[in-house]
This record gives sequence, structure tokens and C-alpha cells, in this order.
Amino acid sequence: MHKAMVAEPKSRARQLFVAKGVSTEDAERFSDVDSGSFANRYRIVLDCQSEKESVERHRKITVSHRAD
Amino acid sequence: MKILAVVYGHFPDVLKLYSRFQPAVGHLKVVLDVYPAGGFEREQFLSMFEQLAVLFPTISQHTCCTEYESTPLYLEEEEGVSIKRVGETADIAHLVEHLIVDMQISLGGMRRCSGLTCGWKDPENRFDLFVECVDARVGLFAAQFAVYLVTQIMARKKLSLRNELVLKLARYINENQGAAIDAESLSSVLGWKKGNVEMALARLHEFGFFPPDNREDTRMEEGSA
Ligand SMILES: [Zn+2]
Repeated sequence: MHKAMVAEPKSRARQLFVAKGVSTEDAERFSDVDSGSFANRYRIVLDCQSEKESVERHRKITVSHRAD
Repeated sequence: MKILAVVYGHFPDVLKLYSRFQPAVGHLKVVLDVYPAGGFEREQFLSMFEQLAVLFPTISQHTCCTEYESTPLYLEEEEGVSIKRVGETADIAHLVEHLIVDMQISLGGMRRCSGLTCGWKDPENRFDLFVECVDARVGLFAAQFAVYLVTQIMARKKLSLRNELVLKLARYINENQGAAIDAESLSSVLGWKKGNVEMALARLHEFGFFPPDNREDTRMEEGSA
């Protein structure tokens, strides 16, 4: 609480689900949006992406190929 | 494998970890403990990918680990397999994340969706999955359904084709908002056996597809607690 004088109130994400057995303290930590040290907290980061366009393009190509 | 928490919000710091994140789009954050620890062997991974690609044909078009310079791990690449394998526990969380991403597009109405699998330093088997999401209801369902499917596969169970019905029903309900969703009506509209509709509805309930009180609007509005 020593930092309470200077710290901004913490922003939280909306909790959709918390498993049984997870303490209130942990649940709050999980929904904290400004941990400020994400890069330091993680050991490994893997990125992924999906785009509908590429999926549709793929389908179109397949279809036109068949039509020819 | 156990989901500890699922939350929805804007995480400014996470935007710095992946350039393809769209700043205006909120994130689903799934805190996941994975056990038993350990990654997939090549053969297991390939057969798993093959099974999942039947249920999620579009995972074959995902891009994966394009900005992985920060990852001090060797990524295994396989021809025809869009998801990279690192040979450690992160593989399992990463697979779950790809399925959540895929469902944001096939069910959640997004045109583009990006995600990150972030492994904690301590405990090493804990992961934060961040996935762009516009409908928390779809996000929560996707997270729980993905964990269920990957758990089934890890237990070396063959994925039942009934899972496809669950996805089809979710898509139908999303695309036909306001339509009757009692088993009787769905059975006649979809031409499915009533037993199949009931099974799929039960799964949707189990995995959080329907809000608890059937009233809450889960489309995100800032500040809604
Ligand atoms: Zn990936």
C-alpha cells in the first residue's frame, strides 16, 4: 500500500471466467491490463494470424481452376 | 490442461509484442496451465494437425511465427503444416491459440484475427494467450472448446465428428440471431436428428456459448463490468 499514494488506479479487463481454486488475488492479477512488464514476464512468444481474404482467395483460385 | 481465467479487454503492452495487432480491437486473454509438460513429437504433431484440419480446414492458411526473432527456440517447419512446432510445452498452448484464432473468423465474424502465445518464465507451464476478439461470447466458447479438443487429442482419443455439429450449430445461431433455438425448431430447420441438436446445444452451453442469464449482451462495450 506504500505505492498507493502515487499509483494510478489499476485498469482491469472484464472477467469472463475464473476457474475454481483460483484466488481472488490471482484472478485480479490475471485481469490487470497494465502489468508494465509483459516482455520481461514471458520466456517465449509465438505469433499467429488468420485472414479471411486469404482463405477466400484460395477458394476462388480453386474454383476458377476447376471451371477452366 | 486447465484454463485458470478468461478475460476481455485492451492490453496496451501486448500491442508492442506483435506488429500485426490492430490497436482498436480488444483482446481475449486466456490464462492456461498446461500439463503434463512437454511438447509434441513430430509424428504426434502431424497426426494431430491432420485431425484438427478436418474440423478447422482454414488453419492450413494461417501464418505463424513471422516475428519470432525474440524466441530463442528452434522452430520446426513442416511442409503443408501452417503451425510451427518448437518441441516443448508451448506447442500445446500454441495449438489451442490457433484454434481460438480460427474460430474468431469462422464464428466471430472477424475478417482478420491475430494471436500470441506467451509462455511465462515462472511457472514454465503457464501461458497467456492473447487473441483479437470482437465478441466475448464467441471468444469464451472458442477458448473452452479448443482446450477440450486438444485435451481429447492428447489423450489419444480420435476426435468425434459430432464436434463438427457443435461448430455448425454455433455458426448457424450466430448467423441467424433471433431465430428459435429450441431443439425442436433447430432440428426441423437444419434437418438434423433431434438427438444431435440436443447434444450440440448441450456442448454450446457447457463451453459458455450462451451467456449465463441469456440476457447479457456480450458484444463488448467499454466500461461494462
Ligand atoms: Zn502460430
